[in-house]
Amino acid sequence: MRQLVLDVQNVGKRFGGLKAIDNICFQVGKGEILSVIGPNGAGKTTLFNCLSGFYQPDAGDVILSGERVNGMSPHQICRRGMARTFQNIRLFDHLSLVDNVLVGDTNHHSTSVWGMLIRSLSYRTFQQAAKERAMKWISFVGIEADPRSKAGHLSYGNQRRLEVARALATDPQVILLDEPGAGMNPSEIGGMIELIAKIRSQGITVVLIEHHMKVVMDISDRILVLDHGEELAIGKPEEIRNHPDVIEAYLGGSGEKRKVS
Amino acid sequence: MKTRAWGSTILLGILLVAITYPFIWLKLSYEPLSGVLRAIPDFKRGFAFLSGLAPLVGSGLGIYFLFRFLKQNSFFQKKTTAVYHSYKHIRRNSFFPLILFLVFASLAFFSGPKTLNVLIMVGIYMILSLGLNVTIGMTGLLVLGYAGFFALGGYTFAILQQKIPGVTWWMAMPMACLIGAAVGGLVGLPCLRLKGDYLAIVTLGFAESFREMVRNMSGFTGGDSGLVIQAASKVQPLFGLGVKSMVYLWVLAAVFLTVIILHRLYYSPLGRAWTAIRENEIAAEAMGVPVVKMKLLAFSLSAVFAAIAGVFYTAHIGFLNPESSAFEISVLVLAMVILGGLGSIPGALLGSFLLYYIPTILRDYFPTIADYRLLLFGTIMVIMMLVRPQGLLGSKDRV
Repeated sequence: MRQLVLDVQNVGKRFGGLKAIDNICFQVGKGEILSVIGPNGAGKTTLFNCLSGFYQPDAGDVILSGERVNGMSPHQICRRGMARTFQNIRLFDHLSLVDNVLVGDTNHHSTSVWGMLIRSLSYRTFQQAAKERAMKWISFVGIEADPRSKAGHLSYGNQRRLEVARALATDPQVILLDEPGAGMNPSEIGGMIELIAKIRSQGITVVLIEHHMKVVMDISDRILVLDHGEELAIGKPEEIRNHPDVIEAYLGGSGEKRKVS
Repeated sequence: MKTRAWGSTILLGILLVAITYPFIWLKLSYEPLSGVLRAIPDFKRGFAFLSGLAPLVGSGLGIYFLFRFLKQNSFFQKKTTAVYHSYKHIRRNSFFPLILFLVFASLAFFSGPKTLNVLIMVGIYMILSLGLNVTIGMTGLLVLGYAGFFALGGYTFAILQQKIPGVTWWMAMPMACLIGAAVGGLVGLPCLRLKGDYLAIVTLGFAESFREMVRNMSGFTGGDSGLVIQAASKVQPLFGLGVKSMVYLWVLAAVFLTVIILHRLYYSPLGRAWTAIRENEIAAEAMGVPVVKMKLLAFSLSAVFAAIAGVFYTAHIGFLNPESSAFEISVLVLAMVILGGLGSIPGALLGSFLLYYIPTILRDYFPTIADYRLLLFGTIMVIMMLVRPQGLLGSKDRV
């Protein structure tokens, strides 16, 4: 077994009477890729929000590298090594690409205000190093645009990539990608698959929500299937592909059942 | 300057005279015996008007040539479009603000008291709009009761010098800053869950209730009649310069310090975090920006600058009443920031200069339309929103 990075124990969240997710359990090891799939409204994004601190889970625990992180605010969780991207892109449109990535550079926020005001040598060298790190992440995700141009002017595919770069700049152990391939054409999706593999090769654990079965089946080590907020199945891609419950959830019942009804 | 530039300057001058001719250069004379109403040229008033404009034109030209000189000498480089290079650019030109400071400081030696009065008030409004720019422009928090913090700073000084004889304005300054920061943070605290209009209403409520409080605590604050600053607490003449000149120099120094501090913070990780919050609060939070802390910091810092401006204002005018917390002041400062351009430091400076200087010109030379200045502001604002919504020098990019 690989070194355990993220341990989700019986996490549940309800909105009023509606159980958005209930009793979700899974573990992810270092450098593993776990895909979360499920029909619309299955609770995938709710699960991500619970993990990253935007929602407080009603039940269960989220343990990141041995530390319980539920109850913390998103920025604290981010600093402890869990970064995320968003389903609908949330970039800082009026900032340059470099600045977008630098916002993610969490080491940054610990600089002292006095250092900034007098522009101390350590502050300047630190800035320089941070800028170089940011440039490295921008080229890592494969954006070739001018790093000084505005994020809002990027193409759609590049905006998705920039979001990934920004999340990577937080130096995460786990990165949560919420539909990284949404709205992309097949060649862009190919590029995204390569990028996810590259992220894994850095030793970063990837948890992703994805609807493109090609992405999911090609790169996932394991797949978690959600339906109506419940865990339907978890396992290797080939197991999931042939899992009767999964087929039912996706196709709305097996052949025999449909005959009956 | 090229001949074309000269040509357009002269054309502009002729145009200026042509437009102002009916108002300033003519005097109506009525002869009661014959009952004839005649317009006779009044050159004295006309030239007085032009000489009133002279400092403006002069300093404009001065700055223009200075920029050109620095540009040609290659140590002033055009700003790049991103933050990416910004700190290098600063280091290379660290003496540039010093030159600018000396140019403006020289005005203290040969300006009359009237010009100095205008310059001092412009400076005070510059500090105010720079401070307000931190919350509105950089962090994207709409604060509508900014005059409350301004009055708070003023009253800190006014009450201190009342209670403890011998406290001068600069002794009161640190206290005003501390109280400003604390109250700014306190007002910011309940506002953290509010956004946009709701936040604006709460801050407006702060300014208004502060005014009412000051009104009613008359034993402490002098109530409606206000507080008078003792002569010993005011700015003292120094280096053979008059009081006005000294106030001007201190305010000028404060403006420069404010600009430098805010510029450096804006292009620092702190400014980046603020801008990130303005652009997308959720994403900022997800990327490890402590949004609550950053917002409170923005509130406090902004209040500190307002308090500094308040102390200067009180020291300059020598008197303070509850009207310093008036809604009009908040709106005026807001208009300055918006006119200049949200989030832009030069924009805030230009905005406060224009919106203070224009009414002054109106009052001195067009007294009949000076009463309509609010109408004029409104028109300017509407036109701005239609034609150039980002403000005169503004853009949301951190350039």
